[in-house]
Amino acid sequence: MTPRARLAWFVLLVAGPAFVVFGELGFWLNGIAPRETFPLDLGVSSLAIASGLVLWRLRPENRTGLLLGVAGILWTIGGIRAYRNAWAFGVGQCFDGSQDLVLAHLLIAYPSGRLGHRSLRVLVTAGYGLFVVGVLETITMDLPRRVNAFAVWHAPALHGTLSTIGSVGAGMYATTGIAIIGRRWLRAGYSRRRVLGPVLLAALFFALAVAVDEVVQAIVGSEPGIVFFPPLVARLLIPVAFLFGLARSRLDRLVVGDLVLELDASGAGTMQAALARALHDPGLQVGYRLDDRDEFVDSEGEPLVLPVEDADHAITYVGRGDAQLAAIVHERALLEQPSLIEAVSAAVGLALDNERLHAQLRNQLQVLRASRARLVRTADSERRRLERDLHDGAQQRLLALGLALNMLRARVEDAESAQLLAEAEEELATAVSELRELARGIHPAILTDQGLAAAARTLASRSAVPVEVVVNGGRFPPAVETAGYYVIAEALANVMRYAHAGRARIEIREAAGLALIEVSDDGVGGADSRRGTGLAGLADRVGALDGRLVVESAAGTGTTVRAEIPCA
Amino acid sequence: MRVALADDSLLVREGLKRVLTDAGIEVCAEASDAAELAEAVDHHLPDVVIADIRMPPTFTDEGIRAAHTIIARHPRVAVLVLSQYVDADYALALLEDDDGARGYLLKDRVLRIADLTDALARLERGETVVDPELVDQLLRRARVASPLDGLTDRERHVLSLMAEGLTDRGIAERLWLSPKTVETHVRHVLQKLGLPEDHTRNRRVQAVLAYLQR
Repeated sequence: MTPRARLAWFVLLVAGPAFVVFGELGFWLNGIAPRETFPLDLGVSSLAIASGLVLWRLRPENRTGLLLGVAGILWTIGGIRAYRNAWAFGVGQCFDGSQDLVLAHLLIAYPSGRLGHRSLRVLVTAGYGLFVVGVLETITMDLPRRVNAFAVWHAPALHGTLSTIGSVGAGMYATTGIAIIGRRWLRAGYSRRRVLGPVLLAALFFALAVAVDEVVQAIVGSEPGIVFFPPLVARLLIPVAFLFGLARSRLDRLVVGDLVLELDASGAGTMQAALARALHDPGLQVGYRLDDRDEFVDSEGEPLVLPVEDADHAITYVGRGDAQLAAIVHERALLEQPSLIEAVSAAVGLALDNERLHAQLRNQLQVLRASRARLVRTADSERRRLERDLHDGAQQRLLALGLALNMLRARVEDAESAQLLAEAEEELATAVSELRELARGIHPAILTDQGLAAAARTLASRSAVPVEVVVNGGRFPPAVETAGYYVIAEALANVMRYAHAGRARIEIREAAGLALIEVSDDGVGGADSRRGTGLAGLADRVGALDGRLVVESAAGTGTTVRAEIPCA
Repeated sequence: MRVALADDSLLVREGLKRVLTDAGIEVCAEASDAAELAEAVDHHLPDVVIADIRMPPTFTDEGIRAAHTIIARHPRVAVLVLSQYVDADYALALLEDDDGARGYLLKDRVLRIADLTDALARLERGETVVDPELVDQLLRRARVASPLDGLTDRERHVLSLMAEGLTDRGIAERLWLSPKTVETHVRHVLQKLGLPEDHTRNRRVQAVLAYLQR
């Protein structure tokens, strides 16, 4: 604590209460204000000083607490007029109402405690000018110097003018205050209203009360002994609002304890919702940092681009030691409660790390899944290319060669040579036919040309077991059709090999964005996707497309192999 | 006989041209895709067009679509589509319309020149030609209890020749039977399979293929 701060503390702690007692006693003794208002007066000043002290202790860097305390002290100074001393009267008269100027200052500067914009600084400075007007009023007051030690300039007309200037000035100041605070309220987001709400509302009420008070006084004229209550109540409400805000943020921090329990009880993926509740920011987002990378993902592992910090949003990074674990994107207003964010960050540290690891795992899983899908796609397109190359290249060349041999044979007269050529042609025809089968095995051209349904019918027609083909729907994306083709081919092969089935059925249809490809038989059942590498490989292939392979094969009920592949 | 050739492989086109020329068939035009072919047909009006099924730009069923276009413009021009693999859907797509002579053969067939010239001759006569390998595949297909089981061996044979596109007369020649007998067999087959009996040309072949594909 700096020596200046220490001095200020001393003044507020020791001189403050002394002043309060001294000043309020003055009110009491001489009835400057009606006796009924005494408890209110005492309440306002002591509450202002007390809450000012508390605020200042909690946020030494914020001037709000200091200003509130000063306002409380100034409030009591008016009371010393009652000590029947010309100097006390003068001082009391000078400072009468000055507390409102300090209150206005602190409310306009709320919540940062600083008057950010130039226009606000000008306004508040002009406001303090009203204090000078008050002093001049005291000097020009139509009273003998034995009553008012400051009455050095007897000028009743000027005094009247100054009085009017003071009233009109106070009224304008209050009206401007209403506009500023009202605008601030309208522009505040949900979380900001929740934090600033009590003080802003009290401020609004205060400014309104003062403005109305000035108008009433201008119309009715000020009558000694008649006190307009609303400004008094409003002044009382300001420290109350500050204390209320403080109490609530304390409560918010208690909620942090519940947050930890909640996170313990619930599973992964709930961190963001829990934090949004605890910090009262429904739009809050949590990004988890990936190890060794400056990239963030959400709880599902999806990449998350952190927004740019702006007037409404701020980002708080949470970490342990030097390690950054997560980023919380929240309303900027929460920055006004740094202790709340700190408490939350500390409380959720372990759970956050846990959830981060979950998110990271999900992200890795996604990356892996994408790479698997890519691998399958690449392999498929390679196969398609190979099949095309075989057809366009080798097959056509062999055909041309066969045609040449044919011509040659027609021109050869030697019977033995002709026989040899005929044999060669025969071999070539076999080679062409084998090459066609090979190309079909690599990738069935019919699948590319005519789609899965046609390819399935071809597979069915080659089956030794009667196969019924039921098709509902059109073509699927190439990757889905290829996977579906291999599922059908493998399942039919299994039907022939193991099922001892009398018949089988292929069903291809689309339902709810899924391509459903099903092969069922009436055989012995008992197939196990884990035993046969064929089915396991199919499951991988289908899985690469985010689909799943279901094998139902209870002994004695036949086997159903069904692939469900997203195709939308 | 005058023939137009369409194949995107120059090697095959040249080889085929020489073989056909050797066999006494005049190749009056060549094309490497369907558009070129259409132009050549308009210009040369060949008796038969031989077209590869896979041609630029999509390399799928350009040959079949070219056949429909050509026959629509020149009903007397026969079209033979050569296919890398035989598929009943392709054959049925080719035979969709009743007019015009259409043929669907496995491309490997060109290596057995006698088969090819026989098919060309039949097409020139206005008959339909379907590759025996396709018919064989369809007939060999495993079935649960079917009217096909009720056919005699002879009727089965007749059925397969019907599917290949042969006329009653052609079947009679192939099986050394009298046309009268063939007619009876054909009637029995159609009755047993529950198919209408007044089919002619493409339509009969199409009905039989469709039946076999079921």
